[in-house]
Formats: sequence, C-alpha cells, structure tokens
Amino acid sequence: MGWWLSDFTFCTGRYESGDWDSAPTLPANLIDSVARYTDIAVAPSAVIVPLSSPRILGFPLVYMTGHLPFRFSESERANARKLVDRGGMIFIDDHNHDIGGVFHKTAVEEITRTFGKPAELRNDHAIYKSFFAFPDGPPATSHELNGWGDNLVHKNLLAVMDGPRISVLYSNKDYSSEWNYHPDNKRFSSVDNTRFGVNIIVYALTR
Amino acid sequence: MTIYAFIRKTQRLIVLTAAVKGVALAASLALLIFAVGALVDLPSGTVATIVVLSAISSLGALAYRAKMIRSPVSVALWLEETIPAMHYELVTSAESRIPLPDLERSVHLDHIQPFVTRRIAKVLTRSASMLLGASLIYLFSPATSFGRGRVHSGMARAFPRVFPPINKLASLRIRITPPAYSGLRASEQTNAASVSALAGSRVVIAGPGTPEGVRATVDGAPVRIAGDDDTWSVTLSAVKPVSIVRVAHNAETRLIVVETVPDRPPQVVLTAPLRDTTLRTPRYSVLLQAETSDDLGLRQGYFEYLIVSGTGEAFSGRTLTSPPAHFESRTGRLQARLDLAALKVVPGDLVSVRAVVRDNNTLTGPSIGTSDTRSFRIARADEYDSVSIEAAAPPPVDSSAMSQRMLILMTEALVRKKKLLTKQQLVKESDDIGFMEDRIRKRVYDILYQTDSPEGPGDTEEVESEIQAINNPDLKEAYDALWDAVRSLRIAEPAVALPPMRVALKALDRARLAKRLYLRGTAPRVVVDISRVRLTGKEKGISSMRSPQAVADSSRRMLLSGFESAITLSKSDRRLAIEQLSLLRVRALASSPPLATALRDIIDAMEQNRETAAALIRARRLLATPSVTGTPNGEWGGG
Repeated sequence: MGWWLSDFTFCTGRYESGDWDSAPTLPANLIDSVARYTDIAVAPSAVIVPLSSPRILGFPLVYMTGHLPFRFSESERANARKLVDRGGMIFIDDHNHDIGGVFHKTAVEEITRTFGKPAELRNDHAIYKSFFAFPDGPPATSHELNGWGDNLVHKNLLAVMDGPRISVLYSNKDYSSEWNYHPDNKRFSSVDNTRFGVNIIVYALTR
Repeated sequence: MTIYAFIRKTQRLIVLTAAVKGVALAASLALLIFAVGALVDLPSGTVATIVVLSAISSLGALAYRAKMIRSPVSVALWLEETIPAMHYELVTSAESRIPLPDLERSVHLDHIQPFVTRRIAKVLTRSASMLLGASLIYLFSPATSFGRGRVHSGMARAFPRVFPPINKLASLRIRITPPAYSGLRASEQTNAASVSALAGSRVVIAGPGTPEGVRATVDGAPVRIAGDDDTWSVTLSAVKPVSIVRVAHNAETRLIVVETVPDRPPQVVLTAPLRDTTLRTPRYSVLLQAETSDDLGLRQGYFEYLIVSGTGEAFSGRTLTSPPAHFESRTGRLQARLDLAALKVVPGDLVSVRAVVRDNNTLTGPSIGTSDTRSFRIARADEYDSVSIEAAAPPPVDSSAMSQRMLILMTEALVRKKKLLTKQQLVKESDDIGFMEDRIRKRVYDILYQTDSPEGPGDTEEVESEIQAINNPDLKEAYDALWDAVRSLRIAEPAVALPPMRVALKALDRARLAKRLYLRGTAPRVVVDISRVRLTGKEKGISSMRSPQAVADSSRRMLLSGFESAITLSKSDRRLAIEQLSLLRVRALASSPPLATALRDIIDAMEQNRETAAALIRARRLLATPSVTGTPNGEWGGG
C-alpha cells in the first residue's frame, strides 16, 4: 500500500532541554477531535519522537511545548530545519502563557536562530478557516481569561512563513494547558475548545 | 595716395595692432595665472582678483605706450625716427594736412610701406607666440585649473579621437575586493562566468575600450558604466545571495554570476562539562571549557548562565555572563569556573550554561555562535533527582491513594463513633470499609505485579515473584500494609487497622512521586477509540474543495529540463550554453548545493575547453536522485 494511504499520526517532538512532556494527554485529545469532526484517517495513539532522530522527518506536523528553557542541540536544529524544508510544519506552544517567561524568551530566540524571525500571523489567515471558522483569530484560552500568566489575551499567534504557508507556528496562549485533558471529559464541555487544534492539523495536512 | 592719407592708414593699422597685442597679453596673463594658481592651489577668488588686476595693469601699460599714435603727427614722427633717410617730409605733410606737390614727389611711399608691414607683422607674431605659449602651459596645468574641463571637452568634441573597432567583451577582468574587516586580499579573475565573493565585497567587472556602447544590468536593473578612454567598468556590491550581471556590446552579451558567500557564524563546542548534572545541594564548582573557531576571525567569547527559579507554572529567570575573553585569531578556547554558590541558587533552580562567541564581522554582524546547553539542576528535598517539574497526570496508583485517604477518614470517623454503635453496626461498617480497602489492595497488586488477571491476587501470594516487588519497594510496602489493614477491618477492629492504613497511604504517596521521577519519556498512553468517536461531533467544520497543489519537486524537474536543453545547445553555441548553465546553477544553489557545484565544474571545463564528461555524469546522477521533498518511510509514510 502506498504511503499516501497511511494514517495521520500525531507526533510530539522530544527535545533535550526543558520539559517537553508537560502536556501528556493533549495528543490523545486532538486525535479524538480529528476523528470526531473529520474523516481524516488518524492513528489512535500519538507517538513521541526525539527531534534529533531522522524519524522525525516522517511526520507532517510536530508538536512541542514546555515551561523551561527551550533550546535545540545541533542535531535537533538540523533536523527541525530539514523537516520544515521538506514541507513539514512545527507547532510550538508556550505552556507558561507568559510573554516574560523563560520558555517564551528562549523559544522565540531558538526559532529565530533556526528558522528566522517569527512575525505576527494575521487573524484572517487560512489557518483560522481551514476547518472551523475563527473570524476573530486564535481562540482565547481560559488561562488567558482568568488572569494567569501575564494577564494578557494575546491577539495573534506568531509564525515563520515559507511563502504563503506557515512552516513554524508559535503560540503564547497556552493551548497545552487548555487541551491537556482526557478526551472522555470532552462530554462535559458545551463547546469543544480543541476545535482550533483540528484547524492546525487540517492546515498542516492540506497546505 | 597722398602722404597724409598714408599716415592715417598707418595710424589705423597701428591702433588695431596695439589692440590685438593688448588682448593677447591680457589673455596670456590670465591663462598663466590660472595655471600657476592651480599649481600652488590658490583659492579661486584670489585667482580671479589677480587676473582682473593684471588685465587692467597690462591694458593701462599699453594705453600709455600708445601715446605715440594719438595723432597723425605722432605717427609721422615714429616713422621718421625709425627710417633715418627721411627729412621731416612726413611730419610736414601731416601738419599741413594738404598735399604739397614737392613733398609728394620726393617721398616714395612704396619704400615705406614694406617697413610698416614688417613692424606690424613682427608685433602680431610676438603676441600670437605669447598667447600660444600661455595656452600650452594652461592646457598642461592641473585639472583643477579654472575652466580647463570645459576646454578639454570642447576640444574633444571639436577633434574626436578615432579608435579602431575592438571587442569590448573579449577580455573581462573581475576584481573582487573583500571588506576590510576580513583581512583577505583582493583577487582578480579573467573571463569567469561565475565568481564567489564574501558578503560585502566590492566587485568590479572591467573590459577594454571606452564605455560607449557598453550596456550592463544587475538582476535586470540597468547600472551605470564608468570608465575612460581605455577601460570601461561596472561596480557592484556583493550583498544579495546571488546576483546576475549581464553586459552587452553591440549584439554580443556576457553573463556573470556573482555568488555571495556569507560570513559564517563562529562555531563553538562546549567540551566540559560533557553532560547535565543534578545536585543535592547548591554547592558545586565546575570548570567550563569550550573550543571555538570561525572562518575569518573571532573577536570575543563568554559563557552565559540562565538561572531559572520556580515551580509549577510560575518560573522566573535571570541571565548572567562570565567575563569576556578576546581573540585575535580564527580559533580559540574559552575557559571559566562556574561556582553555583556564587550564583545564589536554591533547591529547585535550574542553571543552564552555554558558550557564546562573536566574530569580527563589523559590516553585517557580528555573527553570534552558541554552543549546546548544559544544565545543572538543584533537586528539591521532596523531589530529589526529579527531572519533571509539573506533576504527571494521576496514574491509577494516584487514584488509589485518594481512595486510601478517603478510607482513612471513614475509619477514623468509625473509631470516633464506635461507642455509639451496636456490635452488628460496627461489624457491618468496618466490613464495608475493609471491602473497599481490599479493592485498593487488588489494584495495587495489578500494578505491582503487572497482571491483567481479573480475579486478582486471591490467595496466590506464595507464587508471587519477589523479584518484581523489589523493583518497587514503595508499592510493595503499601501492598503489605493494605493486607494488614484489610485483615483488621474484616474483624471489626478499625482502630488497629488505622496505623497500617496510614503506612499504606504514605507508601502510595512515595510511589506516586517515584512515578514522577521517571515520567520523562513515559507519558501515559491514551488510545482513542476512533471508530467510536468518528464523526460524532455536534459542530461541523467548513471543509471545502481545494485547488490542487503543485508537485512537490517541480523545481528539480525544471532543473533537469534546463540542463538537457543547455547540453543540447552546447553543440551549436558554447557561450550560450555556458550562460544557461550559469542560470541553472543560480537556481540549484538554493535547492541542491551539490548540483550547483557539479554545474560549476561543467562551466569551468567548458570555458577552459577541458573534458566535461566526469562533471556531466555527476550532475546527471544528482538530477536523477529521488526527490528531496518526498516523504520517507516512517510513522507518517510507513504505508
């Protein structure tokens, strides 16, 4: 069977610095959402792949998060560049939801060094309508609204673009906290807050 | 002609000659003053003043000298003074103004006329010589002389030089002058189709002949052609990654690819310490060492310490640096001693160390190189050796621990109200708690011995493997304590059951923390039941038809077709084929550097009329390799 018929597998990138595993149930939650709303063939469980491993190049979307200083080793940096050069997308979320936090500071520095300086993503970008429509841009998280972190609602995500396409998406909104719960608990929510996660995955797979 | 008429005519000639002499003298003086003024670098205002004063003086002197020609008598006297054979015949005739027959017969004007002509010619010749000499001095004076440029250009227009027709693109010299900070020497190549220049270099492309008729563009934009009578030139700066320079003369064109080589950032490798460290106490001193190198030259380096404090989701950081070390070469070594006590770190802090080096690039930099990071973590007392900051998602053991806490509260309540209960009530309530405690024991057993048996351990303890239990002493202790608690609760002795219940709670808590110790890399694996949840979401997306995307590797196909067409073209027009290969190389620089190198070898071989087969084979192999953008085998592409 050709590779194009394989399932989408959610991949969490493991990097040597920091706490890459701070949102352990987020992948299952997004897998559940992809299956719940789309007919994308999706693997039932996520994988964790070291960013320094060549295996990382086999995934169209790599998710990374953490609270602590975010720095790539040389092999991680080289692989991350290769992944993006080959059309992959990297989604990095600040689990601190704090623009003064060490993750934000070091992650933006590392993104700039590895991929180029990230810029604010316009709130009418295609990623906000790739599946669900978010006319106001990235949905706010409860951590932003309840005054945690920097007590700010961040209006824009940051992105490094490859032409019109996003190659690295960086969020300071702490989706890692927002989406980090067991998918079975989704039934208690009136509105599914992981819908934007579906948009990210659909965007990464179709653009 | 009468004598008087002759004298009047001579007077007019002398006046005219004197005027010409005066103008020539003034002009000569002015030219000489301009030339001398440029030689000694006098201000233009001073030069102009001197010229005006000199002109006035010379004209005044001439006017004084011209007193002899104020009247016909004066002219007649001048003639008689210079011709001794005359005996005042001319003066007499000039004074009488009427013709006197005797005098008219005795004076032979035919003899006087040549004499007058010679004298006037002599004066005019002297004036012309003087003016010519002054003009020559002026023309060879410095270029800063007043008005000299205009004179030159006017002369150039009046007397254009005729050059033999030459091929102005026959011999192109490309001179590359690297930026001063690099310390590299300027280099020159002749007739190269492609050159490499360090970023910021000055590239001058020059050819023979005047700039007339030569046209040049850099990346399609016309540029100015400079030059003189012997050479034309185009100058550009190596700023863009690749610049395509096209020069043309008549119907001939030449293409030169200027590839900008960036100044690479310095490399730095942290050689000591080799790995991260977790410490019990914040008292530690370690030697930091790093090796560094740069392609052009290093300037400065230091170690950077990032100290992160905090727990949970509240972290703060501060950055410190070691004293900088200065370099004056391309390689260097950094060394410093890190004393954690001096950084005033406390348990729970994380100190990240890396080496930072800057190079000598004063043009676009400095470029900064950083090493990998090493971390020193000071363990908290309750989380010694933990590498995880955030608590893990509650594992089954954790939920057991919560139940255990709840059962302890229930047992304590039962002990307090024991006196108020009948024996039957006490037995029933104690037995109920014992039943729930036994369920916890069975769950702990499942985790401890990794069994999926639905019946649980039952009475099979004698066959348990102690080896498995040794691997988790906390759970084993909890399991044993739970056994004791269950036994006491089942015989209605809740007070006796409480101590082992508390021991079990503490042991379970330790096991939970222990689980966190090794949480990294072992995140709980949640398997989603895809078929159960498939398309059960109430909200609907807006999935729509999308236009097909371009083939991922279209650039390689474009390179391949361009390559084949260039090779075909090389049989008929070698120069055009070289240009096409140069353009292909520009495209390949970004997508496939090895192919760009192979194309350069082909171009060099074609230009030097060498064998191209080996380079062609290499390029064809590179073009035939599988797509770099294809999806390799893996989780996504496993198929």
